[in-house]
Amino acid sequence: MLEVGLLNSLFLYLIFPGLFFSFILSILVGYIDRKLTARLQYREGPPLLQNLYDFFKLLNKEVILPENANVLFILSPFIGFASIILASTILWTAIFFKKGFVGDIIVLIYLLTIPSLMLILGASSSGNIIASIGVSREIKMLLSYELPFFTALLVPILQTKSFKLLDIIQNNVVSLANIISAIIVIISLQAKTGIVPFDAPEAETEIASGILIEYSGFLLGLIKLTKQILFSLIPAFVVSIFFFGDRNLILFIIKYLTILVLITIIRNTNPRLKINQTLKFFWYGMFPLSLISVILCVISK
Amino acid sequence: MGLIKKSLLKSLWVFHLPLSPCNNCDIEILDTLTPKYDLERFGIQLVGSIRHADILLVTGVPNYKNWQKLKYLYEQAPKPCFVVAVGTCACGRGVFKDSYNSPANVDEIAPVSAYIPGCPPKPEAIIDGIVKLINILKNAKK
Repeated sequence: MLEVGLLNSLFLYLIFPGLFFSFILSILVGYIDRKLTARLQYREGPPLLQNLYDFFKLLNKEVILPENANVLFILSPFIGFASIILASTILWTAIFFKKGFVGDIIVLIYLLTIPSLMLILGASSSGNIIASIGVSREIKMLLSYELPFFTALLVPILQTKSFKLLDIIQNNVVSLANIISAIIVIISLQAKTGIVPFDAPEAETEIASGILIEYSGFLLGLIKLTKQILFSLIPAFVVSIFFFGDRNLILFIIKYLTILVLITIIRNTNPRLKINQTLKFFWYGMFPLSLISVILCVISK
Repeated sequence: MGLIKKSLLKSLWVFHLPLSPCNNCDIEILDTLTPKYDLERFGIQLVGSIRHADILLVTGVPNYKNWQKLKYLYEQAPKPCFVVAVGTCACGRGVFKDSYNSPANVDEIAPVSAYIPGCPPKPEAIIDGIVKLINILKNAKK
């Protein structure tokens, strides 16, 4: 139970598992990702603090507002950022302090969806034609990956018979159904972050960064940071829900890094999928697979 | 050197603007991003939108169809934004100086911060030009 005062909640949200911690973690994770990408391509790669430099540079750049933009254009990156910080606070609090409330996994799922929704709202309010192409692709992506994502998350919920994140973390077992749905969750979260096999909404060479095209300065920095934090949450989410997140801190870090490396390798060995291929992949490939894993889970009870 | 300036110089994002080039300089620019030269070591990366850019990299000769686009793009870029002219054409129009179809030099349309001559310049020369630009900005007052 989180029966704590306002000050304690603020500390949780702003300092330790929330804002500050996620910021530092996302920079480290971004470094590992970019360096590994570079080494896989036989390059040298950027320095350790590259993402920090990028963020500070964007903070100090001029912000240009499009002529037709309304207030959503400015508000939506902030709302997306705040919700991703809240999601990371809930997840890391459950992992580190073993605290939570009933139904927090549902809250977490909804909070993870808000950044993409906000990106859709903000980009479509900019009035740019190319941004609207990106928006239409992002909506199709949202429709395609959410269905297998929810279905795959049914497996740990059915296994532990609980909607509480802490119960799922402490009581999960490794089975075939569990591993299948872990793979589906990794791939869906990859699409949620918009990294390479599923980055059709912000394809740089094709539609000139798509949804991000009109964003500049610290608004762009906030969106990039939101994506980085979401990226650093994927391994933590998968490890804690499917692979015993609470047993041992060292083991947790090893599992976290393994999933991170796996995601980076997937990202570097696959080309960008077209939007119709993405939809087909999730609806005809991943969704039946997630149904099979749910059925397996129910049968093995 | 403050953190603001350091972070700018450590992560220069480049928008590549070809103004009717012969594609020779553009291929050499892409070469600088390949594993052998790897400009990402310095935090330099190509971006797709001018709104994200810190450097406007111009190749080719401005002609009557596209010289205004250079002007618009420079005005649309969030400041600080630096223009770099790559190749003899962008530096001083080369053999097209007296052409009927060429109204002005690149530096008469937008303020150019660095010139990298050559037809085409080698990737080493491009990297050298960028490093010189970074050093100039480092020693500048602001």
